[in-house]
Amino acid sequence: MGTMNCQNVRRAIEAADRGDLLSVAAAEHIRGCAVCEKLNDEHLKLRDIVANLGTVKAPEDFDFRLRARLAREGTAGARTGLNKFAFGFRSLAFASLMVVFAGTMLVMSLRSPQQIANMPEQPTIEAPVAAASPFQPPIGSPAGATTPVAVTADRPPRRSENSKRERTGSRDMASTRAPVVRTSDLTAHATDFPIDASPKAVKVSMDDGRGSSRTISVPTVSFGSQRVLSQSNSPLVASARGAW
Amino acid sequence: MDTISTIENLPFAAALRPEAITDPTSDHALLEATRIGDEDAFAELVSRYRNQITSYIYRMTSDYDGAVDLAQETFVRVYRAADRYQTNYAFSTYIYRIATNLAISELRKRKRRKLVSLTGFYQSRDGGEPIEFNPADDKPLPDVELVDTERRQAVQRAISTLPEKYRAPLILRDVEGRSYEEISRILETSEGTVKSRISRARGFLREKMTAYL
Repeated sequence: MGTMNCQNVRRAIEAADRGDLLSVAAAEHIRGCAVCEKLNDEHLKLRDIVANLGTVKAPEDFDFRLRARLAREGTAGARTGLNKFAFGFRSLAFASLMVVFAGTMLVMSLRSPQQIANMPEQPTIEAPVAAASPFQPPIGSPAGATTPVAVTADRPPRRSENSKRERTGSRDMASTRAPVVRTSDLTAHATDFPIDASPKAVKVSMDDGRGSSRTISVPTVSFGSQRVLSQSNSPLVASARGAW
Repeated sequence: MDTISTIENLPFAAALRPEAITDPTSDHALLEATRIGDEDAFAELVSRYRNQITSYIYRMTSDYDGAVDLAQETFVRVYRAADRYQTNYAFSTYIYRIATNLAISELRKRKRRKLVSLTGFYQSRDGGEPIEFNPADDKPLPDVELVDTERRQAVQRAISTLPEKYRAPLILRDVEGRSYEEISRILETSEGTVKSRISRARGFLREKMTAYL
């Protein structure tokens, strides 16, 4: 260390801990400088006073109070935590419910007009062309007695009808047209009257549109020896009369 | 030449072992026991540090009742954070750091509430925070014991007027007798800064205590 002036010595004195010895140069300076000597003495005294301040003791009931505080805060903390959880859970549940409800309402509101728009048009059952009609009015029968009713969708079908149709769930499962029996056929080929008189039972399978199907077995019908075509009435006429 | 195969063979292995393993009555071991629910271990920790922490906070705040409350808060925090405690440093460093933070928070709260002395301010030497001035009491002192008591109180008052950044290291070093290294860990500053602040604090204190020296 070079020359020790008062400022350097003062720094050294302030930095020295209790019991520390100053450097030789600083000690020499202090011996020759009254101001620094006084300063050093004051610091030594102050260091002693501060070091002897002692420890302030905690109160006797410190442990007891601490235990009580821990217990109180623990209980309060647990209760607060539960409350927080309960509040949070309740809020979350309510919010979820609201979101689900709102979502459902939104989907329904979006779906209804779309559903109406996409609703299949009421199928127009065209009146069968006379030549192709499977049920040509039989001879002698009143016109249109057994003719299927031709429904033309002149106006958009009412929703109630459509929904009724959907409720019943009927579907046209036929992929081919029914054979057409013409009057001329009946007269020209009397023996070829197209009634299946085979002894095999007729089975009718019905589908209710909901996936359940039923099969009805109709036993063989015997007409006996009655001549169907010798009489002027055809079986269709009989059918129309309700003899079957 | 023997090959050192494990850490146990190292000459300084004992220094590397965690204190908790070697000494079951160490602070680390007690806190570990507290962590698993041993209330007696925590009570032992409290009995070891309650006076030190109360005294330290009292020196910082000059308010005994407040110091007791803050000391209790310190232990409450230690208890609550027992699961997160890591044995990187000494437990004393850890608990003193908590106490220091609580004390400084309290001092700042007081400052916000304007709970300061009406004796006025003197600007600090380094142009930093203003420091209060405590005039010497000129009345005659009848007894040596009273002189000592008065002197201690004066020191306490003088310390309480120091800016907090000087107060904490001064108390930790000159009152509590902590090492510079530990103080730097407690205050989370470098050792050089700690030494510098302690020197300045001593200078401030001497100026305030001239009448008693």
